[in-house]
Amino acid sequence: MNYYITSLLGLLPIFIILGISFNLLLGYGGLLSVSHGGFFGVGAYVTAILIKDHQLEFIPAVLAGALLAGVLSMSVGYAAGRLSDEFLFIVTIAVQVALVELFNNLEVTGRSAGIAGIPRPTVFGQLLDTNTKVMILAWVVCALVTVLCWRVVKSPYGRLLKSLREDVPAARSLGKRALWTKVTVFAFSSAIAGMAGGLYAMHTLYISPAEFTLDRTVEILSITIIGGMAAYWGPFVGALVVLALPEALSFADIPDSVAGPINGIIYTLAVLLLLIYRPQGLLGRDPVKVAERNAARRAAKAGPDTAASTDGAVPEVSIDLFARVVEGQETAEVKTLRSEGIGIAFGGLKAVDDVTMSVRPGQITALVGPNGAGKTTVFNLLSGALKADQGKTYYGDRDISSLSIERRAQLGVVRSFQEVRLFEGMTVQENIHVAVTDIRHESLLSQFTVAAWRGRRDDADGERAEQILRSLGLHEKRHTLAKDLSYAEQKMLMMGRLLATGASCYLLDEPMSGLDQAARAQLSELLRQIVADGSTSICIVEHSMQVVREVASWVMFLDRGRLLTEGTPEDVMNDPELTAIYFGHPV
Amino acid sequence: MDLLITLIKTGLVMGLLYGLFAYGLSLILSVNKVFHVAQGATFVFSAYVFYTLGTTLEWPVVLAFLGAVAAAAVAACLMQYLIYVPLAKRDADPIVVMVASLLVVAFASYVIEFAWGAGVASAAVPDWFGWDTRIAGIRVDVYDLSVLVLSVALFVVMHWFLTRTHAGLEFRAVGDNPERAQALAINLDRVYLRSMILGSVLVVPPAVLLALKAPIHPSMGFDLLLKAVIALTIGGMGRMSGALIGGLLVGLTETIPLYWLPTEWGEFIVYIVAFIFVLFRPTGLVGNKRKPRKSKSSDTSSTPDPKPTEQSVESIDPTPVS
Repeated sequence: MNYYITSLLGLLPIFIILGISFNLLLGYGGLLSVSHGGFFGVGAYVTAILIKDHQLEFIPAVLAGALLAGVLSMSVGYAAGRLSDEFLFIVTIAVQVALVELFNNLEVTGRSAGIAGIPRPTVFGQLLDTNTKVMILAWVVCALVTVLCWRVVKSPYGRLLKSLREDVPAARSLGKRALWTKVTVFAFSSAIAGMAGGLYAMHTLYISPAEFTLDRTVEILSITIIGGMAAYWGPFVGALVVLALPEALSFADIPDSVAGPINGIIYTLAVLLLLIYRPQGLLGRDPVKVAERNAARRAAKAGPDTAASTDGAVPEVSIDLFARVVEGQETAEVKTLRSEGIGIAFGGLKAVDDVTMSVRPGQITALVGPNGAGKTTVFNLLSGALKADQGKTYYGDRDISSLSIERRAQLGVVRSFQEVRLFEGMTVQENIHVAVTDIRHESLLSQFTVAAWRGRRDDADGERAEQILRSLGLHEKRHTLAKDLSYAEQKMLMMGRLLATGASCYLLDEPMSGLDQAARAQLSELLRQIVADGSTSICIVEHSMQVVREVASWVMFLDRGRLLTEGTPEDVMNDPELTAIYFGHPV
Repeated sequence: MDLLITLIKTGLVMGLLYGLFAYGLSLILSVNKVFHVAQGATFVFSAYVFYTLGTTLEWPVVLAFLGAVAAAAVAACLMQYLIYVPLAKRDADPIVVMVASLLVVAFASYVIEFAWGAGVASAAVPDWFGWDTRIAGIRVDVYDLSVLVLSVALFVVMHWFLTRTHAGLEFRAVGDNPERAQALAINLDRVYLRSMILGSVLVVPPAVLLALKAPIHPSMGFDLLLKAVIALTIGGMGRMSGALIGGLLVGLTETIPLYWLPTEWGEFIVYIVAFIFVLFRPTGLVGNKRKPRKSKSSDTSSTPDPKPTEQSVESIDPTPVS
């Protein structure tokens, strides 16, 4: 009995660590990677080999194992950043199987026989020669990993992960490095799995390829799902369930030959049922209920005098507050976004043909033209979503023609989308907070500096986010989920998110669409305020001539991919030829 | 040289089997929009049913085969109604569906291990199966010929079905635009069930032939699944021919290097090749060539695009995200 308990207590922290690392990937990152068992194995083998054949102490050995696992998984992370879910799934299965093949075929890993007679670990000169001592080591590491990952999840990096899970193009349009972040989360998660592998080798003192197969990955997956994805303490419960199960079965007098499969049947069935009927797992909470509870709590705290929100509520833009926020941003040098002869063709169709234009700072430029003229395509070219076949794009003196979306956003050129593309599952405040945070403070490594630990900069960013929200009239709704806002509020939030990045050139694709008079007036006022300082520029794609007349001081007319003319709104709208093209007949 | 030709022959034959498996996956993916990983479970289950009927109960091979087909159809119905439909009703995330599908494979391997034991099982092989001959100096046996004949027949029949029959057109319509198909009074549930059954039944010939050729074991579901998935990746998911081409390539990639390398590295090479394809040519060899775009399709059109997982039967775009 004692033996069982010690064994269980020794394995539990290892599987908790595995669950936490997997949860980071799947629960928080939304990335289904089926290669975790393989990286668990990489860590186990490296640690075992270094301790047995090279007499290393435990800590350097396990760190080496974690490092190798992390580095190997970076290739998977790269694939994750470029592929859709099904492909990632395929790639990670292949990686899992390939790793097991490696373990099976290499001399150094003992081929299919594995490695036996692994010596006990030595930590700081002390040999841990009993099961109990090794178990304590495992729990210590587990505690460390728990704290570490908790910090990571709550940090700006964790917030960025959440946003990438919600909407990658939106995050990139704010300058976030989606690909690199996916690579790092894979590396981090796999490195931790590798650490668990090292502990595992110390616990069982014998490892073979069969321990690190797809079955193991399914086991880890089950731990995460049973406990609840994105429920931080989920893996604790999940690991307990999955590990205690075989021990519980052994009390039921089931013959050994069928105990294994029965164990497997029970937990796979349990996970399947949970997936269908309670996908948030045992500890996870129904996200809708969480949001409701939070909203109710805030409302109660704020007191009865808070204005109740109604559908279609139009946020009150506080102009003075807003002006102060805009002023607070650094006035960078004044730059013009311009293109020279850009063009792109799809198949045989020239969607954009030799367009030379500039978006001048200090004013709002409108890009108009009939449907299908190529306005959104021009925006895509300017923002980096598409690569032009000909021509160049400049921002200030810099040639940005070959830069990616996020790179251009980091330089100050941001765009909005026709479909609003908020991070719907995140709160209003989180949406802005993500945008406000500088990418340098969002990287994984930067979360481990002392400054990041104290969290002052993140708090300051949070303050700034609240300021922006106040000026946009969204402060009261800051804990509402973005998807629960009214349409007008969502548009405001979208603008706020762009503003929060401190951009200096805004490309807004039909910002007024779907808004009523009141909301349009608010948004127009906001836009005017943004360009008031003379160093910021805005270009909008717009269909409504009324809006164009109200906000724009310069108009560019696009038709069939060509820039026909540009001028003041009056000039362009009084031109009979253009009106004929636009309305389809002379007015 | 003889060795090389034999290796090629073996690779082609295995490749045809992978192709059949992949074809079923491709069909279900395009119509039901589900990455039916659980196909691996159907595969191993039908192999064991064939074994039980043909060897333990000593039924004639043809009857055992038909029994396996029936078992596969039943399994497909169960999966559809116990897993996919409930998940769809609850608006489950596609990742959740994939996880569930993967779990079904694991579940099936445990059930089989429980019912038939963890070791391998060898199906009784009828006498006529041992007949072989030499064509152009290479040994060709009943197994090779059966694979060739069956796969070609199935591919031809499936092509005729999809292009010439009304039911097949319904499949393609639903795959292309379910809402529209529904508006035209096509019963979506019925089509989904049919395509699930049809796609699942396509794995029975490979299962039975492999059972006759080599011992079967509970975890063979995963192995073949992965190869079939790689076949789809290399061949391309755009057209049904992608499954066939991909399958053949996987088969050849697995065997030809063995001319120079020790046997155990064959599989490893396939995975490396697959990885390279996924990174550099995700649409596969005959998958639909996307328009020269750098970004995800929803960025570039002026109207909101359907979700990237939306696919049509004849033009599936796995939409790698850049």
